[in-house]
Amino acid sequence: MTTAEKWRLAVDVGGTFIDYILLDESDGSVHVEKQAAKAATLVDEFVGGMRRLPAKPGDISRFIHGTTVALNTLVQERGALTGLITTQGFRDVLELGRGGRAEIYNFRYQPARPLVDRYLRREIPGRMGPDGTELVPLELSRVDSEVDYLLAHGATAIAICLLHSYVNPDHEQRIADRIRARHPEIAVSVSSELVREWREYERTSTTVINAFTQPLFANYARSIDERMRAEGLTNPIAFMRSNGGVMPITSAADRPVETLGSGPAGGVIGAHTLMAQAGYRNVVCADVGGTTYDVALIQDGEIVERADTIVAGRPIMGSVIDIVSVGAGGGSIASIDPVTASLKVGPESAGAQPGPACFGIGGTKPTVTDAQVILGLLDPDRFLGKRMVLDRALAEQAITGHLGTARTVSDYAAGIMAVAQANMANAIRQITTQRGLDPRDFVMLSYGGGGGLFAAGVCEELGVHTVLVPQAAAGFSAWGMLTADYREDSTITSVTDVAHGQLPGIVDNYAKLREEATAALVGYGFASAQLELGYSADVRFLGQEHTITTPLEPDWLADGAAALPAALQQRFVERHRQRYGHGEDDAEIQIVTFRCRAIAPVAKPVSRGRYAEVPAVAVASRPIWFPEGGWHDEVPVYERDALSATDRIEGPAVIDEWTTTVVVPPRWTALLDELGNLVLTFEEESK
Amino acid sequence: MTATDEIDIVKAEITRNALLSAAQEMNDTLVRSAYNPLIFDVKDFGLGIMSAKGELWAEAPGLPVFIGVLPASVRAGIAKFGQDGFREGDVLIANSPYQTGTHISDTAVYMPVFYQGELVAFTGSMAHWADIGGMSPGGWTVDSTEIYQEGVRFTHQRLYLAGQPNRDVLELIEDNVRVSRIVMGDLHAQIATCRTGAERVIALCERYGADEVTRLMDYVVRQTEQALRAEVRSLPDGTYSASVRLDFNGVDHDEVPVIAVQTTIDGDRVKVTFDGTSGVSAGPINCGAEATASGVAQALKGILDPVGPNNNAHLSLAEIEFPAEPSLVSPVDPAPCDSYGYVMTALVETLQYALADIAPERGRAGSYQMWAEYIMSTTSRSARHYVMAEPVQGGSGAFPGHDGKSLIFSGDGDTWNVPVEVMETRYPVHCEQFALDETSAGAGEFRGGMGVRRDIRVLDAHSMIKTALENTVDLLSKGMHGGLTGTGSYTRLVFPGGEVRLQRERIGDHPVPQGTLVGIRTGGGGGFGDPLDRDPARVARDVRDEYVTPEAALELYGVKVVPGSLPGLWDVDDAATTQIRRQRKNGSPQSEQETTP
Repeated sequence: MTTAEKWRLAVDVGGTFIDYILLDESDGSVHVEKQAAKAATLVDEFVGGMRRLPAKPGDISRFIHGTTVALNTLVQERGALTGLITTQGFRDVLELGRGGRAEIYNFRYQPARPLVDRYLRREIPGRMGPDGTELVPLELSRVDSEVDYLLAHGATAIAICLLHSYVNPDHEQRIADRIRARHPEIAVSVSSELVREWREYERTSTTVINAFTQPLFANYARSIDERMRAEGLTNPIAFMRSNGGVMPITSAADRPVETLGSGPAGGVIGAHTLMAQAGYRNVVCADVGGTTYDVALIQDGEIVERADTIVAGRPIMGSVIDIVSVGAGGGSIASIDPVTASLKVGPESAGAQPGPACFGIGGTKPTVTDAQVILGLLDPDRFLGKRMVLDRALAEQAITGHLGTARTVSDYAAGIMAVAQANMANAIRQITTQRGLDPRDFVMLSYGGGGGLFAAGVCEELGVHTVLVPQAAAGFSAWGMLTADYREDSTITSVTDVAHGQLPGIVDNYAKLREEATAALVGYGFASAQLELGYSADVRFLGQEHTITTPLEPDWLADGAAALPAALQQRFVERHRQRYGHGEDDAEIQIVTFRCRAIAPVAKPVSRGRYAEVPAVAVASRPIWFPEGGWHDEVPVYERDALSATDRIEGPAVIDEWTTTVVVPPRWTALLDELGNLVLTFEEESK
Repeated sequence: MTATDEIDIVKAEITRNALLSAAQEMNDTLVRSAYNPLIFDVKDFGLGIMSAKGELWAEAPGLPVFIGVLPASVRAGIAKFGQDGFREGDVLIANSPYQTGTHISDTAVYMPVFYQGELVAFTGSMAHWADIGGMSPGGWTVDSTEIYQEGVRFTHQRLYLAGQPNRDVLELIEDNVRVSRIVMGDLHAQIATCRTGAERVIALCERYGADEVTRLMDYVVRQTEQALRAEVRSLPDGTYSASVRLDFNGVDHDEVPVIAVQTTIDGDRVKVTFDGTSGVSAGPINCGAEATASGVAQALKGILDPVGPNNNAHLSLAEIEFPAEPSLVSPVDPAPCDSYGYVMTALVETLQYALADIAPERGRAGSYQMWAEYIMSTTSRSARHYVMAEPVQGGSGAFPGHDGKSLIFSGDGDTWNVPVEVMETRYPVHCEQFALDETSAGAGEFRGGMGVRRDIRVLDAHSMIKTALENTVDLLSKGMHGGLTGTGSYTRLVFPGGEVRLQRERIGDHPVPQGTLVGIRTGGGGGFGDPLDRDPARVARDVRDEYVTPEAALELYGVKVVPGSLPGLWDVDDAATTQIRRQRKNGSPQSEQETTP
């Protein structure tokens, strides 16, 4: 990095806006820019917004790009006309799926339609056995005629997924080589190049989604790259991926399926960085948006992940951050449930259009934001740094019009908040107690535009006593992207008993995975000595189906892995007991999937606190309703920028900044920590 | 009871959601810690949280079959011991079909939940065990004549006594089931599931108090009932009758069991009667009264409130009048019940078909009845013991605007098939194809879903097979409004010598030679609307996709297709099609009259 290259830039392309977060590495300060965007002219607008930044492209050291281009392509089903090459006898696997009916009482249940029509699903003779031995030789000659057929019908992308290719990819690879040699212009997605795990439907789905989104994504990525080069950018662009790492443009253009879950990943990655700096190892990450409440966990300093996910009704394999999303946010609509006659909040959202009633832009249904205006939690005259004036009368009308007059407007508003917060708390319980964890052992990091409004309330619900609201909470996800490392995951499914006779095979598997994961990063230009490696195994008791991902210490693999069986057994049984309450010490165990992760760490920006020189004084006060004690007439309002390092704000109070409002309820206190986070602490009632 | 206006609708919502969330946590505990593929893959279980009186408060989506039988099982326990007959820390077990409704393999494990010394609720699960000790490994006996042959029966024995394991009972179970390691693993998973739910209920009581939680849920259930009754009121009054003949009871080919069901809508009331239903069957197809009631509730829920959460209001909505004498749908001890599911599924499909006509927004044409096969080796001669069991999807009925899909039968809910890669790794079998069976779907303006062809070769010597398939003379996959009926399910066995045998009847523990190909052919779904009204462009796409042959396009749909611009593409000959369709419609004016249920 030259001295001029002091800028680190993250660009997040969403559905309607492009967000730019520019970090000045010399002092940790952050510049924010926003640009409206349309799909048709996205690249022009991308560059247009860039030009307004104070940094010259040539001075940018790291350029990180998060994009929903592949996700939108999938959700809107406007990807490439895709062909599928698969094993003879199995072209319908994609359409048959797993046969379940997610809505068990719905006689009209309809699964998502297959992305490849049946006439474009072509079968090739050849078969591998479950152990990877060839049972029927591949008829490579059939590939040419089938591919010619697909191309004649206009296919511009081809997916290849054969049975048991996760054990032995030879047939898939030979087909891919053949197509690539004859048709270098065609996008080819190969299952074994994307995932090495069993379950043919899920793997086919993943491969097809990659193929379906690839031409459009690759074209987009290339355009961005070329335009940025023309603007003077010299360093590479890195793309955010669902596992929380980044990858270079060459990989992203080949593997767009790995960007599908990258949207909410930035915040969790940022939380991981920030909370490590703050010294917390167990964290609930809560991203409060207008429509959804997204929660993720950091347990023992590691982000909790999952091995598969479902997007738009279709399964995708591959490591992703385990994010649970519930329909609860500022725009969530309140109504009387027609069946249970209780007060329901969400999942329907008024969104930005028609918006909450108090926005006065067409929305007439009561939302969470309307409730917050009525309860005084939001100041109608200071919303978004006074950029918008909210109409309390419209909020009240919405409530009396849709919920009734049996109770006071404030009662209904308080009820809306209580239900929304309980729903948020249930989402957090789901990801903690489900793993045998107690939410009370966690702190919360709350960010997003509504991060400060719900933080303390949800924490009280869960018995969490510490919550942090980072600086510029509304833009925290983009800040998080700036902290992402390059990361490669390699996996292989190979059902293996953990027994001494199997140890050479186990050692061998990890050696192969290590080689694969590091080769990719070395290919991006990192020295292998720089890389950090992590190993884990999906383990189960013999006879069980579901596994628990169990981390391995690298030294367990030394000396032919002699120490591994006992050590892995102990750790797995501990985790099984934690999660399920039972687990036998000496029951036989199996590894189903081997995992290796290689990370090329990048220098993390350090969040720096900014403090006023003198103690803060309240700039205003207003009446606010709290569950404890009801209306408080004169609740002081502070400006976050005016807080000094020694201020200790006792609730009830409100701390405003231009993108978010932090509510400090009674019995909570707030102060700034060394990193500039606002830390809220709950005081237990003294007996 | 307190008046509605004194109920806090905020607390009611929070309580309702907390219990749903608790049931979901119970679900995760069971699925992830079970040993038995019937639980973790097939999800052959149900679980729920019930009031101190055994009324359903919340459930997690499992098998719809279990919609009502778990609360009924708990109520049978309450009837046995009285509400004050439980102690904190007790865990009970029950599987007697005359109390639990389904078959003996479905074992209910439940626990009373106490708060401050008072009984407030029950948590429990019902799961299909890998074995229950009867004459047929894995259960689902096809030819038992008394329940004693079907396995070990439990009538609310205590697995835990006030928190202490009751070793006598646990050992008795362990000694009387095959694959006891798996069964005991599942049993512990079920106990853990009860405890997960109990912890959440107690936390809720700490927040609102036990009485208030009960009062709030009473309110939610009462309101749900009112909403359901309003839906019933919107249906036209009348009695809607349907009946179906079964093909075989498992032991006696001369008996033709009949299920006849009448649904009477009268204002906001639904009454269900079974006039004309056969008496208790000599074979194991009898369906316990609680499972029958559960089937009625499932069909009504699908018609009245298909996607809302489920609670006791759905279970108690219908007034059910069973025949005066014990019957096929209300058997008594010691009638055999191990393959009750045929009657259960036939009942749900028959009821939904009869009601679909008067609820045009919710119902559909008929679907295939069911399929499951076992391939196994459990004899002392086998080199390797294994039991592979899987349900297989088939054709689901069409409805306006949509062709039917290939899904698991209605009784089996969100059950998933077993991936071929997993199956071949786990068992000595080789799957040679898994494909849609184009010949199976009922034609229609909207086509029925297709059954499947799934061919599995048996690789080990000393293996045997067992099938559970379509068990009716009258196919359930009936078309609607002129749509045609889908085909029935059957087995196509190909023996190593090349001999082919088509088997429409189910097979019980039948030894097959090494190398036998077991061809599974599940039935198709019924079509909706006259095939002659199907959009010709859609028919041409069906031909392109090989769902329909050019000949069938002409014969069934009256559409003449001609080869298109590229191999595999087809164009509609508009003139010929118009003419053919006009002729057919004039020639067969009665074609639209097959709709009366």
